[in-house]
Amino acid sequence: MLKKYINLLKEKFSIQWIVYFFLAIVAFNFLDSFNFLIFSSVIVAVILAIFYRKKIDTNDLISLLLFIIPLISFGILAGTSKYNLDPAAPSETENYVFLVLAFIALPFIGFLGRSNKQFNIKTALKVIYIVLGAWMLINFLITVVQYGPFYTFIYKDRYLFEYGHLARLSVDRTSFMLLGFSVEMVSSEYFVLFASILSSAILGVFFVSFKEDKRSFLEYLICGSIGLLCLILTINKTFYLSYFALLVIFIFVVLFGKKILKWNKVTKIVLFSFMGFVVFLVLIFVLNALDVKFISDIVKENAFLTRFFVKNREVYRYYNIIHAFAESKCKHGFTPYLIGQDDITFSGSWLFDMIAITQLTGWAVFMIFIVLIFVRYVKYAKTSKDDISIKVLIIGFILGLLVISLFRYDSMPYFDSTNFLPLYFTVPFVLLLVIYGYIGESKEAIE
Amino acid sequence: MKKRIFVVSALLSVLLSGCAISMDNTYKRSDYNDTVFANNYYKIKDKNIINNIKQTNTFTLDKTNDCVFENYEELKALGTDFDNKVANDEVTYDSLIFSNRNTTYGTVNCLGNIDDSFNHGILSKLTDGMLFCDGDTYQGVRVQIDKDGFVHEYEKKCLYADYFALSFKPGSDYTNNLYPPSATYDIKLNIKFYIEDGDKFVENICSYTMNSVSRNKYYLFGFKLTKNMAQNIKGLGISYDLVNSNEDASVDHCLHLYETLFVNSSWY
Repeated sequence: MLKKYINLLKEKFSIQWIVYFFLAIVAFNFLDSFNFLIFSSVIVAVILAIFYRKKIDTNDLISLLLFIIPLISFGILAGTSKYNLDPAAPSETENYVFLVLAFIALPFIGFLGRSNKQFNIKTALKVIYIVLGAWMLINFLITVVQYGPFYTFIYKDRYLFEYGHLARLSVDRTSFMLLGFSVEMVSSEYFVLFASILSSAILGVFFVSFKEDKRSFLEYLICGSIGLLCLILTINKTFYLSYFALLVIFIFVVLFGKKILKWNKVTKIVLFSFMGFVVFLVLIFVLNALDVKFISDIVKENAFLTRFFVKNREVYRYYNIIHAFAESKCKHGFTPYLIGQDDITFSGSWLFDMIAITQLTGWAVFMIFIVLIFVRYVKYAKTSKDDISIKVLIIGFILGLLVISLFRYDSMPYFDSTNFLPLYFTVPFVLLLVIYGYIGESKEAIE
Repeated sequence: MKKRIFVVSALLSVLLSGCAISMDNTYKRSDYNDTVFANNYYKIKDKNIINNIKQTNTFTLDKTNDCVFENYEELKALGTDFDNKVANDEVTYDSLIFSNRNTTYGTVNCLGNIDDSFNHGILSKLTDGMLFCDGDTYQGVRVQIDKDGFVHEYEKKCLYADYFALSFKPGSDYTNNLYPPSATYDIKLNIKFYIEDGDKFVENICSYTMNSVSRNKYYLFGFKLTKNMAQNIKGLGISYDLVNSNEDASVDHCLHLYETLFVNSSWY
């Protein structure tokens, strides 16, 4: 009897619609609750598994399971960490003990999608981008209505006075976003994270022919434009300058790159020695921050080196975290968190913030996962028969998320509270996990 | 299609009007937080009120008839007159204990609790329920006024209130003296209520002279509001005069205001 109904349902209703719907509610930040995402992802994964249990390739499944081992360990560590469970810890109000369930279910959703021929990754990506675009358009309009255009310049270093106190963030560093069912003030770095991912949709335009696929072309163009608009609205002077510098370098390389730079021995030597120098500087910075006596003595004695490696606005926030880590008693465990103790604040980069929140074990596992994303993507890009535009959009999404948050991510994005929101609790990271499940070695291509 | 556009635009307008924050009052970090005493005076007088005063009435408050209190003990003693339960475990205003600056009396009765419209702008310092200050930063708690004081228009109108209370401490610019003299003087407080009457305002000035006021003490001054006086209050002004002061005239004088309370009030 039950089988009959399942078959009837199968005929009338395509199960991949559940995946699209799930992606849509995630991308719209529906309910603004991570626990909601955890349980809905588990439900979706179970439904998909029931319907497609026969289509699952065992080798593929084992491969996926191997690839999500670091993610599972990270989920267990993060979900049961003191940061998460300690009532005194300044974490989110929700309790994320079941974090690991989401970390298993989300890649599984992407994986099950791949196992099913009806599932179309192009549609899935479009759903993500269009919903994200609609949501960001709302956020963009709300922010413009409230603050007006160019507010980052007009209200630079000016603060609102709320509840008897000067606001934590100045007006130029805040934006408005629709979180769940209410409009809230968030830090503009959080806003830019979504704008950056959305603007990566513009990459699709370069790989889709306007004549052949007018609809996709326009969709990518509009979504990408909304993302760029949001970027332009919120970025400040430093951002404008760095974007402009990047643009100049890009144009220079495209126009004159081939003429001036030839891939010969000299170029190789110059390039490698430059990279070597950068690595050397980073090494000195890290060793100094870790209080290695030999290095830190040299840096301390020289005013220029101190200024360069420590007392410098850009570097100090990273230095502060590594230094605090070096001084903390428990370096390897997961339980202690550094933030909130001894005036340690977030550095604005997930690479360093992760050390402060999860200590060395969690950080190492997370880093392995980040490396695996790229390993998996390279395999996918080489073997999959997916359209080139899809591959570009996927790497655009991954880089749009990871690169911007490497330099500018606010782990305390809420204006009204000092609750943490580490990168792994954000909507883009959830979407990334689904994509992570989808990408991988394609069996068809190997055959 | 037109219908859809209409629905979408209606939804958008509802969303966009969901939150309203006034951008008129944005401040620099250094505003009213200067090391120079004279730069920290809050002197803003709302032009809408100042330019539209129809009539001015002056009342001299009587200690007994108007239920005037000058400190917390007196307020407690009045007790039933205000039909308001006053917590017994309050710290005394004379003691300089800063650890307990969030008193239950302050946090329960503050205007910020009564209506959210009081929580925006720099004068939200006077409605956040904090009755003491450790003096760390100006931005933390104090509003520093000179003799002319300020006039502020509220977003909403008062329907009724039991009594008005003001938490304050006198202060002077004795930056060069490590231990300022503990001078006492009499202060004539002028509490001005602006009652909305059509487009204009009626100014009710309630004056009261407090004797032997010292800079080493916190004061909770207040008096009973009659129904006529409280209804339709749209603005508040506070100013003062020094009477019988033996302080050096060349030294800048001020009142540090901590809280203005309309206890058991309702706003619309």
